[in-house]
Amino acid sequence: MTETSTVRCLLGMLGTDVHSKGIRTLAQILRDAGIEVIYIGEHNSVEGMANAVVDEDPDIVGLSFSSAAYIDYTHQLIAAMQRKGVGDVPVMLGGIIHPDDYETLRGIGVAGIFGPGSLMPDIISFVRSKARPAA
Amino acid sequence: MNKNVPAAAAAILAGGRRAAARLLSRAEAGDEAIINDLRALYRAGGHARIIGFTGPPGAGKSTLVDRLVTELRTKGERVAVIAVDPSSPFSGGAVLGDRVRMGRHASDEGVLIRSMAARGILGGLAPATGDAVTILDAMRFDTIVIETVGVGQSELDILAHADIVILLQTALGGDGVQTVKAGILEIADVLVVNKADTQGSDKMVRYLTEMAAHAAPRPDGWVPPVLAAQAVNGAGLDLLCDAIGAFFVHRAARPEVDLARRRRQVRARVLALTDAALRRLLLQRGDAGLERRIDDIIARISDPHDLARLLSQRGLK
Repeated sequence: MTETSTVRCLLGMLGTDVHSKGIRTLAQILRDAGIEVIYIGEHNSVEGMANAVVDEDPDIVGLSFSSAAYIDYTHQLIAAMQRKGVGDVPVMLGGIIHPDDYETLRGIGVAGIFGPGSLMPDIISFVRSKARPAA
Repeated sequence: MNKNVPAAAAAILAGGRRAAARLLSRAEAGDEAIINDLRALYRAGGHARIIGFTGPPGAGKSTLVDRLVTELRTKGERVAVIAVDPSSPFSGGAVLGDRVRMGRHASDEGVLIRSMAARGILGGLAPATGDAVTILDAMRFDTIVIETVGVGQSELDILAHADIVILLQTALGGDGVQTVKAGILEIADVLVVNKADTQGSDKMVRYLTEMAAHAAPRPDGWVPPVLAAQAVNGAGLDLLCDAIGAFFVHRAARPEVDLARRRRQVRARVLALTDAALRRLLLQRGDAGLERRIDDIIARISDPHDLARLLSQRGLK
């Protein structure tokens, strides 16, 4: 059955960032690439998003940031996910991410970074590459 | 629990949310290796009250569900929500956005929300909805809310799973001709005209009240109430809670009706599973026997009825 290869990707934003244009565009593009997007929108708390990761069982989590606090928030989210036993789910970042921070972000466990100028085909193939086997 | 309970089922019965979420994904993927887990979980279930919400897209289902969950939480109930959104007919992808309206429950351990894609099924629910109910019921949630995709006139799969069906409508749902048409309006146990501040809402309430009053009497004797509500600010939620409560009291006083409904639901669930199994059987490629029978039909040595009968009988053995 084709269902076995369906990728589930949870997309959301943390904190007070309201710039949702990018993440909604990405949601639609991933949809058109055959990916199931669990879209949780903006204004999520770290705890709430980590709980959503537990219950929704996505193959990958995508965060979008257009604010400066992304290192701190991402760090907190990954820590919360580890506490809740879902630290193995990869996290990717998009939005206005400064290249100077890439190394720090990789250091705290971010699996993929897609800053300004990233190409959609690259994001799509990255998300697809995180599909887990069904069993 | 005895030793015969498989590992995943045992973890779920012990309240493991990750185990439950994982098993649900495997059920969605059609993984047959989990059958024994589902069997054990089904046998442990049967306690949850299952409330179905259906209605057209944008009518306010998720927002009203959010309100109801808040209300049930104040009563101390543990609540699970299965929120279904459509899959793309072209790519198979989906944007499952119901959680956006339910963000306030994300930090509450007493609430579990799971988004599911309809994956090509046209009845308003996801193919694994039944398995999702089995899993959540075994986790001892007091109430399981199922929210269908935004539906049209005849997506009725919710009937197979919900103990009560709540149908949302708005002032924009058409005139008095729409409300006497057959289909989804007939399956509602409670009718809610949401966004009641919209002009024409009172008219819609009257059309639906008239429809409910003139419908053929139901076997359970229940007359579906029609309520006006505004999910966005909670107006009318008290009426909805009262109506849900009254329905279950009414139903409890009529065990024979309740049993009939449960029997219908089991038939519908078995039918859905059988249907899926037959579909897999028939659509498989490379089975020489099947290919030969198909060619026999083309050659008019056999006919579609012959093969259909053969497939359904093979299933019964």
